[in-house]
Amino acid sequence: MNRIFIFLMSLLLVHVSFGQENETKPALDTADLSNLSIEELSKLKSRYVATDMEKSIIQAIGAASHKPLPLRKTPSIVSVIMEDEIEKSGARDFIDLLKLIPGVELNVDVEGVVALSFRGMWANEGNILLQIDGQEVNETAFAGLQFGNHYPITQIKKIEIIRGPGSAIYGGFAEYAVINVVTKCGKEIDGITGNLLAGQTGNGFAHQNVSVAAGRKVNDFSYSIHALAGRGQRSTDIYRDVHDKTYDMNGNSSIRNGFLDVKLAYNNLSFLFIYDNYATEIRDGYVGALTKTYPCNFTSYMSEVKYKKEWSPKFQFQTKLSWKRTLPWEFEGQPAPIDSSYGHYKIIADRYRANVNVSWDPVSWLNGVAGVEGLLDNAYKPDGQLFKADSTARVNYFNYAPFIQLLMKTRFANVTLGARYDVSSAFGSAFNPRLGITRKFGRFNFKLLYAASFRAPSIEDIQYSLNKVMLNPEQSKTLEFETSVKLTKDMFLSVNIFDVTTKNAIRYFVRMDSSNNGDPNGYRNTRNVIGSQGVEFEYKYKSSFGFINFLYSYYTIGNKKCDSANAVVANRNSTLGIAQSKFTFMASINAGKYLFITPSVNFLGKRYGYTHVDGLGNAILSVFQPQMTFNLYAGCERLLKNASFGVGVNNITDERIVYLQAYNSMHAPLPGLGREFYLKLNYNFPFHSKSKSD
Amino acid sequence: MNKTRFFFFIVLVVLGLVPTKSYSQNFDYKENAVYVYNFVKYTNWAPRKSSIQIGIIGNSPVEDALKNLVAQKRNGSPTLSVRNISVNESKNVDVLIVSKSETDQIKKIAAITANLPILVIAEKENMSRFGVCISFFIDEDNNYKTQYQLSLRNCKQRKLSVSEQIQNNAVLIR
Repeated sequence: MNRIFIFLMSLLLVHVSFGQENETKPALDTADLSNLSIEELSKLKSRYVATDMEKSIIQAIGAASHKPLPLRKTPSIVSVIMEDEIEKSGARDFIDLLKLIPGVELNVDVEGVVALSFRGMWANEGNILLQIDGQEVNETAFAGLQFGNHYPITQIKKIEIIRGPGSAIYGGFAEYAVINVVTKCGKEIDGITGNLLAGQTGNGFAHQNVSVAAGRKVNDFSYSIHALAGRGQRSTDIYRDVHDKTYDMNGNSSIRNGFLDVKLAYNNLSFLFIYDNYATEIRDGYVGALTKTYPCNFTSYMSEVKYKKEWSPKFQFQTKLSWKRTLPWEFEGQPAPIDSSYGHYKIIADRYRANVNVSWDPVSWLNGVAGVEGLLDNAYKPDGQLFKADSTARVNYFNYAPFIQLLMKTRFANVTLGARYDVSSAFGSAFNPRLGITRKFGRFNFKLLYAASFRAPSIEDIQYSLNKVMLNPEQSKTLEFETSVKLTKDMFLSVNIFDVTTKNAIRYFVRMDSSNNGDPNGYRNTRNVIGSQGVEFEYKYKSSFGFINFLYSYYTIGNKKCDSANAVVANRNSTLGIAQSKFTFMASINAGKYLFITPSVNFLGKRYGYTHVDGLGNAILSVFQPQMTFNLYAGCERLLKNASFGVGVNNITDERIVYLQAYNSMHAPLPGLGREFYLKLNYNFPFHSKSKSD
Repeated sequence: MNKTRFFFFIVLVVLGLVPTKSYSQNFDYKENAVYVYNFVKYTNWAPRKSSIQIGIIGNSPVEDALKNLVAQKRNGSPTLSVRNISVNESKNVDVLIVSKSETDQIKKIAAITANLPILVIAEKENMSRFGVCISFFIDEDNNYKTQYQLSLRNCKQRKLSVSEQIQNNAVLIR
């Protein structure tokens, strides 16, 4: 750790010490402004040509507040991944992009699902909200997410990552963070594009994806359609369960992905439909390796109608109606006798949402947003199964939430005050206020942020509650402070510290003395107040040279308590399965007008995970030494007119990648992909004669 | 961990090779000059002046831009003259432009020009607490557009009357 901090400080000093005031040169100017009035000057478009980095700093971030604000004024710690970074990074799927976010790590849940942890906290179910084009992607039954050749990245315009709570805006699925994916609209696609990804490891295929997108804007009407079909494998390595049973994941861990995203817009009215099918094959059961593979599917349908009306420049009205149907963890087939604890599982969970809000700027220094959101969750089990707690085939929960936000520009700082009050028929109520103070001093910018947030118990959390006791919402308080500095017009550096405290954490409790109780396992609120503290660091450079991204994150739970399910006996600063230190370095170097080469390195510090059990059935903890992977991607943005391609090798040294379970539930480390050679091809058929590559 | 050390070394070398010059955001001085010309045009001094002296403290490209502009408009009324001055001369002009490089002198300038009918213009934002009437700033949120803050209180204290043309397009501050 000391070496890392010394490194970071020296990096900072290098740049500060070079900080001789070097004024930018005035633009060559032949315009005659001499006869312009003040009003005409004020309306004159800025004649300053901003660099790519400056544009990224001033871009509006939509996910961190009800009213979009520039990056440095948003009342949240925010990372942004832009379209060109996605393209030139050589990312194969969403997992590669998550490596570019400080604090985010991937861990195995159960049954082959790889999901997120954040800032040292396991964060799969309702802790992190993923949105695609404003649609909540988390499935409704458990509120979880699944990564690995899932969620297409080919038509992404940008990803906004709110590295902090979002409940004051989004409610009960955004306790720790929000990932907001913005895809291209019809005008930005303006043609037909096709993308191909093929990747191979030494043992078998890894990725085989094809996607097509079309979009156009004609007068006031805009449309875009994006479809993807793909297959991949979780790993081509050997899985060894805690009982030392093994199987080859090559051919036993397939992932099939079908995705369709349709967007229509006419004037102020817009419509969206998303279909997402994630069909996996699993053999890593929660009781150990199964005798054969079983399909486990996750299917979602999402749709939304949105209407936005601007009554005046100072007063806007917006209403949204949405419907989401999810069928998660759909387990099919007849299990073999030895896998008798496995059975058919099917749930259809619908979520209906209505949201109305108004935005008003009564004076130049104040903006207010107020509204109300209603949610109706309706779930049923169609195949004769019953919900566990209620012993019915259908359950309904209703939630309503008034919310408010005030943005104030004062002489001393920009202040954000907000709150959301969720009232639920399932868990009572949760009040989540937030306060954000941002201040710019020359090239420096400061943010002081406080927010309360919560994780709403999901439908199956409630139904699988331990001893049918009503679950309380999991509640967190997060304090953050960020300093950022625009080192040059091409360089940006931000450093933040955080303190997260969570009470009533919802955890699945596996009771070892099952013989005493016929219903031994289930969700319950932990008694300990848990949490983490840490530091995150992001450095970005972008110019005609290319770009450099360097990020580092560190957490400790040394000053906090930890739930027994997540504790590491050997190290009280670390939680189970999650590395305390993480860094990623990526440099994309332009070689000529169209060629680029992008080396990158991903590092995870020491981790702890349960790997096997002893003769008495006690789980044995193992230490996983730091893991470093090297990757290389090279591409040509213009192979032919309108066509581009890239080739890459991921995990060059063929490090053994493993996803550790971040809680003690006897799942052995799940292997990931080894060295993979891959190829990406893109073809763009523009509707207008001037192609993007021109 | 040898690999880690090696990696840090490589990162340091690569970042060291990247051009690391610092910078400050510059105004569009040609635009600022036209703004200043218009400020003079729409500000009333009592008694009315037939000639206006514009003094610039410090080195600013706005000086050349203003001189060129004034040369173009030499038939206008009142007649304008532009010159570079020292801090001690600041009370002898009608319009005072404090360049960005000289804003650390602003307290001294405020003391010398206190309550005098001088339109004090600063090339730095949030200078109203030092008696500055108009402070230029670059609005990052508006694609780095040049804008200005106006303190009506300071104008009033200096017995200057600024017209609606100036007020309507300003960010008003105390």
